[in-house]
Amino acid sequence: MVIEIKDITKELGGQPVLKNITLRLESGKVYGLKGRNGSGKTMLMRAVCGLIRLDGGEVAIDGEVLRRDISFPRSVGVLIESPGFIGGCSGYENLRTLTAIKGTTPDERICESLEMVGLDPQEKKPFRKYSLGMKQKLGIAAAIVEDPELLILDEPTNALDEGSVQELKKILRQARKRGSLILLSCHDAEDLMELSDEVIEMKDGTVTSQWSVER
Amino acid sequence: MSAGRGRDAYGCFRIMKHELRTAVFANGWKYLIPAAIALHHCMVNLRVAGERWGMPDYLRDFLKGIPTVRAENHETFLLPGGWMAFFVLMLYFQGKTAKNYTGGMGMQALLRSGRAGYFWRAKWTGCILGVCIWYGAAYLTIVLFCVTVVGAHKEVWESLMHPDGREVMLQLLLPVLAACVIGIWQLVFSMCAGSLPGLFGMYSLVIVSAYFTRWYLPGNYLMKLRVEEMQGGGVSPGRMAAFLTVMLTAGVLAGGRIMKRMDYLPDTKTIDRRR
Repeated sequence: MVIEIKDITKELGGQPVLKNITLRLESGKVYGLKGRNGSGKTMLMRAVCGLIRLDGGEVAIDGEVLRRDISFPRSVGVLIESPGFIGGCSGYENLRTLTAIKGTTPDERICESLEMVGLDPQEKKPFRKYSLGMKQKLGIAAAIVEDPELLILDEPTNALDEGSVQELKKILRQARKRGSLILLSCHDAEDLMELSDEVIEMKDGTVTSQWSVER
Repeated sequence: MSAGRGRDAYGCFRIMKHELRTAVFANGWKYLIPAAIALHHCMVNLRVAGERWGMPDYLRDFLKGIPTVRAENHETFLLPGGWMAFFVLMLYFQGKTAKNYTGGMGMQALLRSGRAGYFWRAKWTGCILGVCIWYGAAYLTIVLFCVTVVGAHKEVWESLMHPDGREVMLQLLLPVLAACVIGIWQLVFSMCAGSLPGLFGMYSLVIVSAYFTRWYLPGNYLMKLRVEEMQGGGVSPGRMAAFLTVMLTAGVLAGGRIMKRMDYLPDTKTIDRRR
């Protein structure tokens, strides 16, 4: 998968949130977005998902332009901002409801995804009774459950304890190995550097620098 | 049909199923509300009308609304409580999931739907079905009440098929169609302005419709008394139904166009950025 972001701009309420961003992202790599709050990281992720209509430029995924040829990426797993699910259903039931839309994910994979993030598939507790950390884990499980080619995670380490962060790192390494393209933002600079192949630094809606991480 | 188109149609069906599960049938207890309003209506009328009323009377009287308010006669504009509660709550529950695709499970579903157009189809189908169930719960309660308390004889069922009975049917179906129109336009306004403005916009439309008897204000068709008045004024039921169908179609088409062009951002996000 290749994502070509060509000179994209976006304004909201007269304020520019993305300014002339051009990037090329390739599968099998983790791209870490670095920047302060309001720098445009989440908006860039939304643009790559097709969730915002651009004022200028285009995002093409394998040559197909978002919002022109396709509405959304064909295979994408997303965790943007706080995860929300059906309050009265368990984690397993929520994932089953979600995966039923595409209808390609077997039950074993749902259980496996829950176990990977440290949730018990047999747990009957409804989502509304989950702790913040459990909610975040379910959000991550929802993003990875269908083995997407494009994985977008906005602050996935929020509310996670140290052990869970290590589990997440393992999941991301596996996804990269499988050839997924991962776009990640994280407040912890150390974690971001550890996980990313390339770091994209943003400020005020622009990309200020982009560099490869040396291992 | 090619395999691709078949797969697409199946995908569209699955996203509809998802919308029905997460928006229409979620919190199914909400459909007890119209049933309770209808039951209250029946109990009150049983006390007042006693055995003089049959099932068609109960059905006809439910959500009949108010006649045109004539300010020149110093008439006071007072909205009937039961009628208002019925629509305020219906629009509230519609509004709760009107823009569910901007975050959480709804956004996940939107991305998995593959096409914004499919998602919109699921939204408006869900909206229409939600309105039908809302009304259905009320009508069913009235029917059950009449069968068990008042007693529905063979003649009652026959009277519903009689020309006058058809009139009753028309009076039952036009409000449902009007409520569907308002529900669809609530979805459209929510897309453009946000969930809360969408909700209050529709409340305003309903209240303005209750004050002014005009054929182009769809809220009038929610009141059987107004339908009768307009019929008396020369607007045939066929024309009313045609107008509402055009409004419904226009809402569906407008929504589909906006859905493909809009930003799928939470309302708070849009407002925050407007500083």
